[in-house]
Amino acid sequence: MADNTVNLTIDDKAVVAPKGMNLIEAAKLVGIEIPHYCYHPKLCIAGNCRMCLVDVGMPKLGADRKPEIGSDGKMVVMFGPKLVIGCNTTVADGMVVLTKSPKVVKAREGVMEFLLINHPLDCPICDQAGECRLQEFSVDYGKAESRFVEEKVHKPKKTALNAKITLDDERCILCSRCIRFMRDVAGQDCLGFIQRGSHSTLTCYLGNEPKTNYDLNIVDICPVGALTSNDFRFQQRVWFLKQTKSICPNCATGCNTVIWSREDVVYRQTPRDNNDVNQCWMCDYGRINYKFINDPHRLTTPSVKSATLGQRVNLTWPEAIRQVVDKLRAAKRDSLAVIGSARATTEELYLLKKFSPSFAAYIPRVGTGDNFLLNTDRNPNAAGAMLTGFSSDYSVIADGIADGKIKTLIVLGEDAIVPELLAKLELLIVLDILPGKTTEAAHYILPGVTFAEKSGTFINAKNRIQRLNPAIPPLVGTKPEHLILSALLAELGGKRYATIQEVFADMTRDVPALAGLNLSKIGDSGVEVKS
Amino acid sequence: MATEHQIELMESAARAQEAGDELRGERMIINMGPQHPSTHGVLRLVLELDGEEIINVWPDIGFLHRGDEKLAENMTWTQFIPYTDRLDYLAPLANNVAYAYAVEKLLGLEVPPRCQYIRVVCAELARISSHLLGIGTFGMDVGAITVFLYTFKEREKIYDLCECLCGARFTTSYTRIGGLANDMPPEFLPMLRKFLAELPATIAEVDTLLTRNKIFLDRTRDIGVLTKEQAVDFGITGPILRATGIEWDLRKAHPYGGYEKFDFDVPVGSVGDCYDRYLCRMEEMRQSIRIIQQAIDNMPGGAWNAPEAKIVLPEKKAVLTKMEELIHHFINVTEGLNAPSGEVYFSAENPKGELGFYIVSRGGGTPHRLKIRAPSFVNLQALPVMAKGHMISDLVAILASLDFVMGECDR
Amino acid sequence: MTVPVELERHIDEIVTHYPPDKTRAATLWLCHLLQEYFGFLGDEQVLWISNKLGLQPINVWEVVTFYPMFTTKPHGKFHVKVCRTLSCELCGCKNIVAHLRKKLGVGLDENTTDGLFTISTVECLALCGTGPVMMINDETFENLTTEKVDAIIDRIRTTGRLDAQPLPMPLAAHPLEKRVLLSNITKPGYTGSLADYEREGGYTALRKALAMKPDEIVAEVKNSEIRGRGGAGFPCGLKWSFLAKGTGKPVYLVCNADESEPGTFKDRQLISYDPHLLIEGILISCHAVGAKVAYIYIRGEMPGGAKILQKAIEEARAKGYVGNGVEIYVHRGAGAYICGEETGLIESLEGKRAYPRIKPPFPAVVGLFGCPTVVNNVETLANIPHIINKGSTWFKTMGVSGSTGTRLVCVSGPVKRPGYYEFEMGKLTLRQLIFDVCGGLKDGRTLKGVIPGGSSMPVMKADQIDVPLDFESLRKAGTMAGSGGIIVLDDSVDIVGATLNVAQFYAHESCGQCTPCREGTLWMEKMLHRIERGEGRPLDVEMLYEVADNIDGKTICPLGEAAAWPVKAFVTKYREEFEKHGG
Repeated sequence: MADNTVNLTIDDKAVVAPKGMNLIEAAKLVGIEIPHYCYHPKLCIAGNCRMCLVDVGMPKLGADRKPEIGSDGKMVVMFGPKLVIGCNTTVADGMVVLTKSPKVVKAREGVMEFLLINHPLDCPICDQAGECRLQEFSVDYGKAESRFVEEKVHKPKKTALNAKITLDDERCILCSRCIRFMRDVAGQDCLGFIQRGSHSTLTCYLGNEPKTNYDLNIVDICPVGALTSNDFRFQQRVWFLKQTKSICPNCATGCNTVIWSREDVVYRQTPRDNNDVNQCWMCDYGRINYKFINDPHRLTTPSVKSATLGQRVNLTWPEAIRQVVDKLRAAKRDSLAVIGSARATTEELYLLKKFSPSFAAYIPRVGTGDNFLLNTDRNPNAAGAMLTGFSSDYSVIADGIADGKIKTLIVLGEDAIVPELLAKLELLIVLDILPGKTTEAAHYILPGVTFAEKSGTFINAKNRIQRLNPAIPPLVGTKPEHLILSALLAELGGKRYATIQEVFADMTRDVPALAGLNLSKIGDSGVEVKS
Repeated sequence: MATEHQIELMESAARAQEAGDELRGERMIINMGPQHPSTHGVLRLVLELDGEEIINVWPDIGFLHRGDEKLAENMTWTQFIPYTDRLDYLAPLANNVAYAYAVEKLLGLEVPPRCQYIRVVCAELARISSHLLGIGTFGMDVGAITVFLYTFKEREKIYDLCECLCGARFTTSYTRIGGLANDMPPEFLPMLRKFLAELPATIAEVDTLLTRNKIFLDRTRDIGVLTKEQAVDFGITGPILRATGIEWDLRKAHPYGGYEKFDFDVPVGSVGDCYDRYLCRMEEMRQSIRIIQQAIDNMPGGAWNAPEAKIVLPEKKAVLTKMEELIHHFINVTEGLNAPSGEVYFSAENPKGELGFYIVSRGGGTPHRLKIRAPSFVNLQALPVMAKGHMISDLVAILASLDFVMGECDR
Repeated sequence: MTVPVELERHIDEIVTHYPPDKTRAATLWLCHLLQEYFGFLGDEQVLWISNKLGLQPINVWEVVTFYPMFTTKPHGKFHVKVCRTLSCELCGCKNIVAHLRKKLGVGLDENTTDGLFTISTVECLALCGTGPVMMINDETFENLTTEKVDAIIDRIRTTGRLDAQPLPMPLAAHPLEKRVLLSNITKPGYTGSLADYEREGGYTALRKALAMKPDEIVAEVKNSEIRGRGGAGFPCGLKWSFLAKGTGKPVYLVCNADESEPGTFKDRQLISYDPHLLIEGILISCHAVGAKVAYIYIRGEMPGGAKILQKAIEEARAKGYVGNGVEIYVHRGAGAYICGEETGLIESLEGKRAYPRIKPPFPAVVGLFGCPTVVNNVETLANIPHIINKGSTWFKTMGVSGSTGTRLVCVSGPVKRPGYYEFEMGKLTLRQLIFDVCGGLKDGRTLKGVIPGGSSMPVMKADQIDVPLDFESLRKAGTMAGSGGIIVLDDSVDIVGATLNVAQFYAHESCGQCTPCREGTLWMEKMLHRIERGEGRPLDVEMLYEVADNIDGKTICPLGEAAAWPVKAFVTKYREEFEKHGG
């Protein structure tokens, strides 16, 4: 027994747990689920749902203060007169925990029954169905038949907690997770229970609604459908959705996310656990900012601004590549600049840099931050841009265009240079996803993809390289940027990369900070790199 | 398709060779099916013929393969029941019953007596229906077209019975894990009794038309003989096996679903030719009538679903008015009933033979692997052995006497 | 909305009763005072309080809606609150309510059109021996009859005001009693003033204690084996010894004067007639445990008691007893039985909803304001001066082993002489108490059952009452001594109705924090309603028992047991009555 661990038994399984751990976490270590509602690893203990009741015993100590051995050769264990809640019980040496004894089974059935007697029959219209812990624990631990024949308690349904969240008080099981979150994590003490007893109702004071950038996290932590996101309301049943692990592209924190999609449409994003980045939270701004992925105005075909026709002409991809390559070959290398976006992946920036070693810049993006997750640096990959050799000062390029030194510009996903300057360029090639001033001015548009449609990496403000995974395939007609860029480079005499892994491999050679890494090693939690 | 084979010189070929070059015949490889009135479904046979004589036949199956076993891995236990209808689609009720028992074996679940008896009625009705069709088409294939019409008239009544029982004539999907979709409606038993009263006369009529019919006898006796050893080697089951003389019926050998409570005989042949197979099926129908009669005379009352509220869906009225029932219905339907992990094999004596389900479960609402041991698939292996040396017209009789279903064979 | 200067000054003074960084604790006081002045607590009042105390509006709103004494809409000028709990129902409170409603022409919780009256029913007012009872605003009216009610209402109508009601005369001692705690109250001319108290030897113990070391006092109290008189019966000295030492945090002593257990009305007598006994007990105890501040948490429905205590504290301050190293503050509750539970009380004291805390940690380690705290019942503390004066050995000569000393018991229900009595523990059986001391039942009636320790304790049938009144004997008999509130049931009592009354009490008082109690208590009430109406089904009896059993032992605080035990006992011991009621 080390100094900082404790030996105990849970359901006849030997467990070695760190000191101070509670029984719910200790049971998880050996794959045993202790069902719970109000407990949350990142919030203070409430102990009010009573779902995690377990039978706990300690060895009976004899007069010599050593454990007594019974006639069967086993340690005599004294169980408490009552069950105790697992969330508030700390592991102790010699502790014996039963999570499936008849007493515990009956207690769970009792608690489930109590939770359901006043619960509305909303499953068919409730968003939480499919990820609802009331449903899951009812089937796993509760009785299958109801014996409640009285009138249920009625409370306000479908009230607007704020513009983003709908509150249904009848579904609420009064676990108080949302109250604790708003008060202790989001920093706005605005939720509470009014009335008493069975009529207790969750509410907020009129005029003092949740107003933080983290409100939607309470929808995540609500175990039932009492708090639902208006953005996702009635959009999709969750069992139809595919979950893809990704990273939020809205600021340099790089919260770990899950993208939920079905048949090429993204329906919502939720945070993913990563104790080194965002614990299990994300901000509302990043969470809601995904609608552009399925925006009907997405660019879906390469095109060229035809001088003769005076309008834009669509091209096939092979034709577009061919024309762009021809034009790039004709262009002088030292008058070629690239503007990369720090919202692009490191791999894309690495390839883009190859076009112009001397004039490469990204566009910094600054916004208000808070002291929690939202970073003032609104680019997810400024670190990646800098590592791959992009300067944060694009005025050099702007000036270069103004005095005619720079005649060719490749822009990846930015809209920063003013149209008057862009008009001076001889050749403007733009890779982007949505139309803007730059695409309007572009000679060639090569439509790219959003963060949800590609693999790649971002490096966050704490120098953590994290991996994107594609949730949906590239929109028809678009291509992931690294494929576009590597096709161009290959035609210009460079290496032909077939996969992103190959790009990454080369990148690790050329960027010392990334040496020894590959996309597998980055995994789901990312890896810290040296700056 | 055939690869290089040793060509055996048959007697006729030897004679031809003797006769000299004029009569030197070429072996023909011709294709029979997959679209052919006599191949009983989408079966392709590659025949190597010497004139009329079959030197070899290679069944080419798979035209009705729909990937059932793979599909099963992506759906819940209950969602797979309609797929069982479409295995042996001439006896859907029997497949439903077999699958239900297989999953219930995995769950360790016993169904109540009423459910067992109703399932016996279903399985035997399916047997009658299947044999009526088998014999009807057999008759038609060898030229006795009237028999087909007579048997199909009775089959129509069975379809009416199915419609009464579960709402569908054909794709019944009647059983559920732990019970049945619904209890027998009150009109069913009188309808069934009427049918049972009328059926023996039709069977007798068919008997009169075929059993001592010289043409039928010539077409079927000593045709397509399968020996006992061959049958056992191939793993043949069902009437084909019993026609060879081996008394093996799962309802007697490994009784399931309450069959031990019923009094019935198992017909066994002696020669193992087409005629024996015909006789076995005729007699099985008569025995099925006996079984059904006993079942409906002794039909137990009480529940027709196992009292397992976590497996069987609650009744609708409760689902719409009570919380736990709503939740359990919801989860049962969307995620599937929670089966334990483990492996089971269960087989039933279906009209075509032993229909078995080998289920591998890793726990949860969907199977990890669902292997279907289809009797028609196994039985069809014996075709080359039975057909060798016969003529093409005999092949038709042999195919008809095998009474296989491609839906089951290909899955 | 403007708060007058005087009032704000008073409020500012109250806020100083609490640590400067814990001003939230003043919430209940501020709610009381603003409601007194404005008549209700609306948006403006809530915002004013939250501003004053540096809170969020929701914090105040939660409290206003939790405690029934606070109202968000104005009542009539005279709020008539009739007790509806078991003892009063046994004495006919339903008649009184019906009569009032007819007389005033209003339904419950409605204001009369002239704005003068509102009638409400409230839970046990701790006046069970003189039921039916009612309070009008802060005044108490006992032994009600319809004629008396008429007289009271008419007088208010004619004079336009509410007369102050004097305290009733203290009860004379019964020969079988041994009065120690109540020894002063019937002395001729005794007013409970400090002068009277000292004349009878009061504050000698305090002087003796101040000369002792704190450990010595604790040892004496431990040695006396006195067990808590609030309901749990936990040894007092042992509880004191659990206090965490050396934490660097102040120690608090809290006196639990939230007497709300139905059937119990003993602490009220001590507070009303001999407040200095309690004050002295508190001062000695503070010295013993090292507390510099003590709070008396008195239930909101005893405004008279709060005033008496406040006056007594000022008298003691004038004499230098209070304020000389130990401060005592009165803190008024606002109508929640759950505040009788020690951690619920602490939460309420801190200005929040009275949600009992999960244990561990225990109050002795983390209590009021996060500091080591000891919570003691009024009667327990009232014993301390006597123990110090005459010694623990003397104390042990009274009572029996395991239940030393004397105990105040309260008898209510249809007996000839209900009231409060003080006996040596264990020297008297329930039967003797009811028939010898209280004169037995009303003429023509037979005994059906007795609840021996407040409504939470399992009922004893008529043939089970030969049990001595001490902790161990009652426990062995399958019930408990509890709070000492003894409720007698005679053959005129409908057990189903009695169970329903008790179930309604717990459903109303459940704080709502934990699942079994919150949902289960209301479920039991609804089931019993249905059974009482005659719509019960055969399986309901089993179900009632099972639901109660599912609450028992699964909750955060003992209110779960308190709600479950009566139902389990009634349903088991009087099953036929339940079955007869049903279908």
